[in-house]
Amino acid sequence: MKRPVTVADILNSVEFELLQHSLMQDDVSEGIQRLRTYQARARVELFGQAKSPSFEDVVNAQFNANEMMTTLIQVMNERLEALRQEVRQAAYLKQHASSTLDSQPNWEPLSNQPLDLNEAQIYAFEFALPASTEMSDRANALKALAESIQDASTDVEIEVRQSQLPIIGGLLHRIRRALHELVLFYTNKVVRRQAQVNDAYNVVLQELVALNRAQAQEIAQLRWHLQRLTAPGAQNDQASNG
Amino acid sequence: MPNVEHTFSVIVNTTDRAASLKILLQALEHQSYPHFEVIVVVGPTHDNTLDILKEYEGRLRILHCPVANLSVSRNIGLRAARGEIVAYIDDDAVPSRNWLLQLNRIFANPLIAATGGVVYLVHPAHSAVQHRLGIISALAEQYDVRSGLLDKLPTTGAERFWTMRMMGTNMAYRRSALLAIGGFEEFYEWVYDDADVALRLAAAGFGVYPVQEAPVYHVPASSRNREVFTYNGRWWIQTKAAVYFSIRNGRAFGVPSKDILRRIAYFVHGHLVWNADLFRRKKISLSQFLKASALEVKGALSGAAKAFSTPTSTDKSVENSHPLPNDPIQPFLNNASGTQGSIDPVTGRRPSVRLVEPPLRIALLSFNYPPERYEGVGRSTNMLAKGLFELGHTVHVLTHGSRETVSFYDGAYVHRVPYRLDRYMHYRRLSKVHHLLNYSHAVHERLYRLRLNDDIQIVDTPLWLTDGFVTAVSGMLPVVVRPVTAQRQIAELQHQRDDDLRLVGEIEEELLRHAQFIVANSHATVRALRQVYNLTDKMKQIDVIPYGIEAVEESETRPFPFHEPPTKLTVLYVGRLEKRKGVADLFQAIPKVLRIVPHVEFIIAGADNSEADGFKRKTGLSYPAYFRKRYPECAASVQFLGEVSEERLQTLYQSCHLFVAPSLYESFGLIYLEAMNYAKPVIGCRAGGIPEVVDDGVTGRLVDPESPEQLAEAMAALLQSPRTLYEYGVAGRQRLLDRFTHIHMARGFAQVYRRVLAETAAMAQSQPTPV
Repeated sequence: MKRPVTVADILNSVEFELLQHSLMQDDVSEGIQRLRTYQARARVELFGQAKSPSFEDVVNAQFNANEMMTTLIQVMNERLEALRQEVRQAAYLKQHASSTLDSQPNWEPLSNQPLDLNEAQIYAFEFALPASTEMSDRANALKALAESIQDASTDVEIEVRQSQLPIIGGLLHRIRRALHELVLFYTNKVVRRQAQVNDAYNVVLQELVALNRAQAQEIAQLRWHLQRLTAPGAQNDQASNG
Repeated sequence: MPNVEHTFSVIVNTTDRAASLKILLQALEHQSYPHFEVIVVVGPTHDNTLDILKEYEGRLRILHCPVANLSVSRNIGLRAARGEIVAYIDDDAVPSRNWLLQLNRIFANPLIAATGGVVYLVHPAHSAVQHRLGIISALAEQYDVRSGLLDKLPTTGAERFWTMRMMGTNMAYRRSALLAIGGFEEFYEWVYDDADVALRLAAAGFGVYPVQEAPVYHVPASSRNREVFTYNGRWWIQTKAAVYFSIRNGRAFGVPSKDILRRIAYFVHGHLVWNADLFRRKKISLSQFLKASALEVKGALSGAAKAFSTPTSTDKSVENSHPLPNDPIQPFLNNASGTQGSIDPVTGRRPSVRLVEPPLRIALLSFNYPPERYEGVGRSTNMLAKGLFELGHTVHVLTHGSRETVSFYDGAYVHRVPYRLDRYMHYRRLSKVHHLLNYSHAVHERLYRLRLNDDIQIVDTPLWLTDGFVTAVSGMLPVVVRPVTAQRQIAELQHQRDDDLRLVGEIEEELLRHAQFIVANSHATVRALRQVYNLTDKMKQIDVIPYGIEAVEESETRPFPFHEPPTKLTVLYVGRLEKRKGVADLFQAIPKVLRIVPHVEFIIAGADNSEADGFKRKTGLSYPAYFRKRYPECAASVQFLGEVSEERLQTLYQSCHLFVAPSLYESFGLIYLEAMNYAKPVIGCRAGGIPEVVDDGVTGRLVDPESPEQLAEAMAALLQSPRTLYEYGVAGRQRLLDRFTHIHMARGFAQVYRRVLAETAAMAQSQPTPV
């Protein structure tokens, strides 16, 4: 039987959507941490002591977790796509670099006076590889997520309190147990399917992070290469080296 | 990212647009980020630009550009700049308050050499997003407005060099990077200068990264190149620039010659077709069409010829003005900047008020808003916005719209917020709740950006439709609620009870609980809040500030001409035709009045709401049809106008002799004020906030609700007494001037906002800092 919607449900939904919003503003690793916290909280709310969640509550919580993971993947994908654009741009430049520099219009100088750009300023833009700690943080966060997913994948176990009533206590306990088993049959079915979805998410996230790392390195190399080419005197250096 | 405070040089290039320039300089006084200088590069100007700049002597630097060429002018500014970052803004735009703050935040990333934010066209009649996250190819193919980084991406494998770009109205560069690529290419005298720089920076390995923040509000002004919002312009300059751009950059980036040629042909052909279309639609004459076509071809040829020859060089005198790179900047802001009042970016009007404290930055919410929709909440919000602007405060109104736009209307930036029903799906069967939550969330997201960019301090939401519900729950900003007649009250009055309405009532209650402060429009509203919502714990945070309206000029008022009473009298009713408005009582009273005073005409203005309030379900008829069927002998004396325009409504108020609105409940009754504004006597009920507006026996008459006999008696008595009609009308007008203008209302609200902000700040200070 469906219970009527209350304003407490609405407030919970608003909080969830606000969390989703902040997830999109946050860094990915922090987002993963938030997702973990949400999962943990949902678990306590649903299966904590003296709780008897409805089938609908369990499914709702799982849908919410799915939503959050989808948001995370969407954010990561957006960033990756931006990186992919940069890689494409840089690859294009690398391919045409020599012809670009040769055929470039005389962009140099607004005047014969030296431009007030010194070497130090140029190298202020030098690309640094993403700090290794940042990468390992992300990897750790991901590992934590995988563990949390594994935790959540286990079947929900039956928890029926023993009735203290005389005579009919045993009977009540049996009826309760039968009802709970019925609920659990369906709940576990959903939980198992969710576990499969979680695994799929995990694989996608792992791939995205690996791809992210590879592309960041490639961009760093390409940038470094380009700055060498475009730095004042680069062409002279090339000529003398050649 | 490290918290670095860069120094900025804001460069404004201007020619013959003194009025716009003045607005921009006044708006720059509101910047929250202090470390910037302003450089104005003046072209060959013929208007009073230099007189305006004299007012800022010692606060900004003025340079001269001998030619009307935007790129040359930009380069002059660049060479003179002392800031680490050069930020360009058009002379016909105004920046958001945190414009430089946001740009500074972006430049904290050392990889970024160029950025720029969104450009909104804020002209009231032509509002649109003009530029956001634009991209351009080496062949000048471009998308100016994208919803995100993944929107309208060029397909993989399209062998073009594409890069993100900024619009010249809102762009910023590391000075060193811009100098490293040689500044702006001076062949571009008007357009494509910005795109060309983005492309060259990206090619040189610098990060070009426009963002969705740091908006600039653009009010395009006419110039020597184009007459704004018309077809008149020197469009061939665009063709010349596009051809030059495509050839130079296409060749530089290795695009095959046939592709370049095809692109140029496409562009020129497009302009020729456009000209032909304008001629066909009689927008331009034959001679204009022929001249424009010839100029297009000429432009294309000169662009191509230049692309194959050497580039232009800068003027030697400009080069000599090159400053020492480490000179400190001359800050633009001074001690008085913090207390400068807001400014209308379209007309340049500035309230004459002198502020002692810094002006407030307020977001007002209202689902409906003029000029699109005039209804109670929208109208009172509009009056509040107008009043707050007159007191020098900056006001942003968030209202519903079918697409995202920002315009400036009646003293406030009006942000149209579209929404989709893609959240809160599990409430989709509760239609009202589903819509309400989705819209409120869309408003919240817009407020989030407004807080970032325009430094909004406080949100003011009506209780009606609970626009600010999600923001109040989030705790992002302090929220003040303006309760009016609540959905829960209406549901009870009209005996409507369903889950959807019940939950809307509960959402209203939650909004009130989450609010930092409640401002009721009448004591009746406070009483209703106590009864309907049981808000006893909130009573300390409730204040009463009556609504106000803008008083019309004395010459527009029309007191009753009691020396020469007209032969035919007019009684006006304004409001939706529904039970709560007492329209059924009015119907019963009309025949009684006509029996006593036959030369009266009743004008009923307002939409029929018989379906929503259940009247049609009971009778099978709309209100007008019911009246005509029930009282056929009176039908000739009653005009049902339906919903009327605002202009028509004002004319109706002005021309009537008596105003009547027997509402069973009104939290305040703005309609009575509207009539009093034109010196009209009014009749209302002793219900809700009406007695606080209408002074019984002084400015009009009050009768008991649901009492058609009393109503008929009051109308007949007044219509038979010309002197009373005159005296009540004049007294009503005076009462409005003394207590109920929009300035009175805004002053009260401003005090509340300051109080709430002070309390919020004190609370934040008293809370322990997290370790």
